[in-house]
Amino acid sequence: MKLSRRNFLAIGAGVAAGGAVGTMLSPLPWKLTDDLSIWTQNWPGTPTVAGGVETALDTVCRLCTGSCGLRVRKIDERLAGVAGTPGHPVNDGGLCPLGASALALLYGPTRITGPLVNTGKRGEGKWKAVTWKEAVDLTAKKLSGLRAKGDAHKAGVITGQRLNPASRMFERFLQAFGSMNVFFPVTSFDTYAKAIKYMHGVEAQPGFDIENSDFVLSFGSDLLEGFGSPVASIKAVSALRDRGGALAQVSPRLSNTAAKADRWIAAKPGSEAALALGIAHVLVKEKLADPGVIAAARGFLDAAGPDGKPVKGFSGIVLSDYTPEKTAKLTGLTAKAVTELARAFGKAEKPLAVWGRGRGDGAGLLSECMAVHSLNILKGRVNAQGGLFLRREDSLAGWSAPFLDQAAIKGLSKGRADFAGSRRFPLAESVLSNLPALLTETRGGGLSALLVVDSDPFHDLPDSNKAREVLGKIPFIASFATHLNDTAMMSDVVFPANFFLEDWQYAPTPPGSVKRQVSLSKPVVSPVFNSKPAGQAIMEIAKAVGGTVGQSFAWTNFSAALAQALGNDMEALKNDGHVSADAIVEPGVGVDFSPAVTHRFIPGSLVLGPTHKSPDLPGKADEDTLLVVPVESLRLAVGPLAASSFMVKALSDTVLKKNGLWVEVNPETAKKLGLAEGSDAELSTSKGSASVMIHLANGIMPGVVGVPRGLGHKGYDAFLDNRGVNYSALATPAIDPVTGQDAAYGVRAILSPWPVAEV
Amino acid sequence: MNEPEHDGITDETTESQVKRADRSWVVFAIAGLAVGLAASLAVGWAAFPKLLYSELRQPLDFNHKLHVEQVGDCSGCHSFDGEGRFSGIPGLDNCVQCHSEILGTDPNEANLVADYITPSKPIPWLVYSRQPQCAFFSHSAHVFSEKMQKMAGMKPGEAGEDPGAYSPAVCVNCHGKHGETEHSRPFYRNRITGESRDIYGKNLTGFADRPWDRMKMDTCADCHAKVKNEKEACFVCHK
Repeated sequence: MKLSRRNFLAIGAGVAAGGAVGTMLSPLPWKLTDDLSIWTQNWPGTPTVAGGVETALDTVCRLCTGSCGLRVRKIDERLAGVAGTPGHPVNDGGLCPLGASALALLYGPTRITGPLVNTGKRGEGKWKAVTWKEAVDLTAKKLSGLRAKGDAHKAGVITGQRLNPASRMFERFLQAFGSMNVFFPVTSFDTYAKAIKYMHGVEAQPGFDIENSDFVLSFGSDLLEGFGSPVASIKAVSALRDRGGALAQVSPRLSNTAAKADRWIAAKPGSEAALALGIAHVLVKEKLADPGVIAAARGFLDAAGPDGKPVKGFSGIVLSDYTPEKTAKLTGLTAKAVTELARAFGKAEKPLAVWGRGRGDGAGLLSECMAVHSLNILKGRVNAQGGLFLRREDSLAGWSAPFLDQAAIKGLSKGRADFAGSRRFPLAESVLSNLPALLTETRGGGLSALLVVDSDPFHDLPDSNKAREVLGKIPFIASFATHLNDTAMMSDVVFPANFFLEDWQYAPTPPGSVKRQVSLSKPVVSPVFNSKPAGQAIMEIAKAVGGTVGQSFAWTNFSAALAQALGNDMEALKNDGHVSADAIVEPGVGVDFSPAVTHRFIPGSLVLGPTHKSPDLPGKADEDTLLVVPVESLRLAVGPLAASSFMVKALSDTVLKKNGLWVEVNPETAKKLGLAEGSDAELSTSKGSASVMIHLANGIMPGVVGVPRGLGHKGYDAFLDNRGVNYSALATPAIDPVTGQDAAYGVRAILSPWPVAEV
Repeated sequence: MNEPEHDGITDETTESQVKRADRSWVVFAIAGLAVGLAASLAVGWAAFPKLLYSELRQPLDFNHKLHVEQVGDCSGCHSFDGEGRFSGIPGLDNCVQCHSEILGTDPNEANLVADYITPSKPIPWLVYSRQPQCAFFSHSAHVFSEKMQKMAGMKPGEAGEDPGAYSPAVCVNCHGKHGETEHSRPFYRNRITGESRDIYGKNLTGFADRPWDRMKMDTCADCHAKVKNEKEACFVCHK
């Protein structure tokens, strides 16, 4: 038989047919199909859960000053979940969105994984990874050089929290080095402590016993949006309402707190002090004040002055200058509203006035605080249940004094670059909020080296563009951070700090707490990256600088220093994670009302004038000018760590859409300006301008524009970088002349439609 | 006149000659069929299984028989915690209790101490019976189930008082007499799915009569149906 073409094809066909039949009769296609279907479920992107032993560990969240108890779930050595610790005295199982993002932040992509040195222009993000030794040596060299030139006082530290051992290490470093320039933020709670000092004569922090009150009057404190200890505040308001108590919120916009309050008082922003004194008028006039308190008080009644002329006391001033009609004019409310509110406050059994604008992280105006506090005094609510408690300040066991050599003594004698404690700002311990402006004034050129820990000044300081410019001129900047925030991006050397889940970190009592509640976070996982505790990093730098600076850090490591600082509390803190105790301070004999209405309490004070006046906001106030106020949200964070990606995704489209920021405007105002919902507009202040989109909201006062805080970053990752607008870039500091701190409650702005291109 | 040839057919070609020429392709076709059939059967039945699985060895050659003699039966190492979580193949903590130092002369034990215990590195055991991620399986539900214990031929009270105690009979019921082996058998890993061969079973036809020879969904489902007298709901195992 010939192998013709036909026969050849016949073989092929036969093989194919036989192969097909044979294949079908073999397990190959059936098994292969089954296997392929399983294969499609196991592609590399499919998330799988590794098995392991499950354990639960309790620690303390350190992402804000709230200090909530945190329970983490671990699978073998990997953290798998976080929740609030049930039964914890601060948060009882609750957690805020930032705390809930802890794992994303721990393992997350913008975490600094090892020491970095900048190789490009500041802000470009061109980094070279170096070893710890290289980073430490480089920093020590720069600092030693400064010292050798006799410029030790030109080294500065910006820290986010003063009262913890890690920050204290940096302070100690500067002391031994020869500089007084430690800058830390001053909060409204610190301002309230000053009010307590001058009115009661004792050193104490305020404790707001919201849950046990029956009528809480909050002067702009965002109790449900992060005031003090965020979760504790929310739970306290819930407990208040459960007991039948009422919440009255003074706020220019319908925040969540205002929406959930029983009364919403939309007073003109900045007139809160006038409102407080107006309420005091009614309390005094209608005899709703505690007679025992008044009888023992100084400065309440008119008295004879040093020159024999009668000087009006608190009572005289509020009765004459803050009648309901006058108060109505100052606040934009009606006289009836003021009177009704005052009567509701006065007739309550356990009323409590709360002060601390927004979250309470800005200093605010001291005289405004005192005006509000006088209401608590008038009703006898100081150290009373449901009232305002005077809580002893936390203190750490001291370390031995650092060694000082000639260079150090010389540097320390040069004083501070921010004039804090000087005749200019006698009451201030640190003026961080206005630092850039003050640095440009300092003779001899400000700072030459800056160390930043636990803080993001390049983003957060008001007038942040100027802050970037002034701070950006400092020749050497080193950051100690967990993530690449705006400040780290502008640094020359970046030291990776341990995240709180990897670290022993002390937390002082949450602000506004009635009891003393210090906490210690413990490492629940070994460091995921090549990071160290920030306190350890500065210790190594000190040892590398050597001399008396190095000798001042004789501990073997930071843990030893921490243990020493915590003293007797160390055991309890290590075991339970927190120490809770009553710490009530009894006020001095009789209370002094005069600081609330005069400035006579400041020795040699340069300031006079009616105290209800808010500091003048820069910029002209005419009929075209609007007032931009900062809007707080639990979905955004301000501080060394910005919002996590989860939180940013949770922002509604009427806050942030793609990269564009939406601002809240009253429809009346918008109409006047020719703007509608979704219009493009330009918002400009004296410090900067931004393009925004308009969101119409009936819940914001006409003439007021709401801008969220916490956006407009120049760092982190795609979720935050260049998204939205930085409120701080628009804001201007408005200095309280008494304390030297920023007391701005908003910023004057012009809002205009985005110019349409001419055809 | 002579016309051009068509397949060699001319006016003189006889009928029988023509017929034979037409059919030759059939022979070739049949030959091809036979070759194709044989080849594909060989590939499907012999080559395919060989290629499909890669043969791996356990990191340490574990002697179950010896350990059962020394420690006691299965529950000595494969334990349940207070909340009913099963240890599976226990972690290093379990081995360290005896092997913190070298006890014998076997090189496997030396490797255990040097490569795993000393550097605290978990042993990467290959689990023969590991089910895929989509399936939820609770050892507690099966080991402490009375029906299962009866099926295993256990007498009531045989396991003991301790809530975590169980009789080896229950294990053998599904896993076979693994405790009597002196060496770890090879682990056959399906190259496509990554699963152990024991899941589908060594027998590629899918027939198996003992639980440790095959444990696919239908195997579980059949037993569940028998025990529950009705078909089990999907979400019981696919959560």
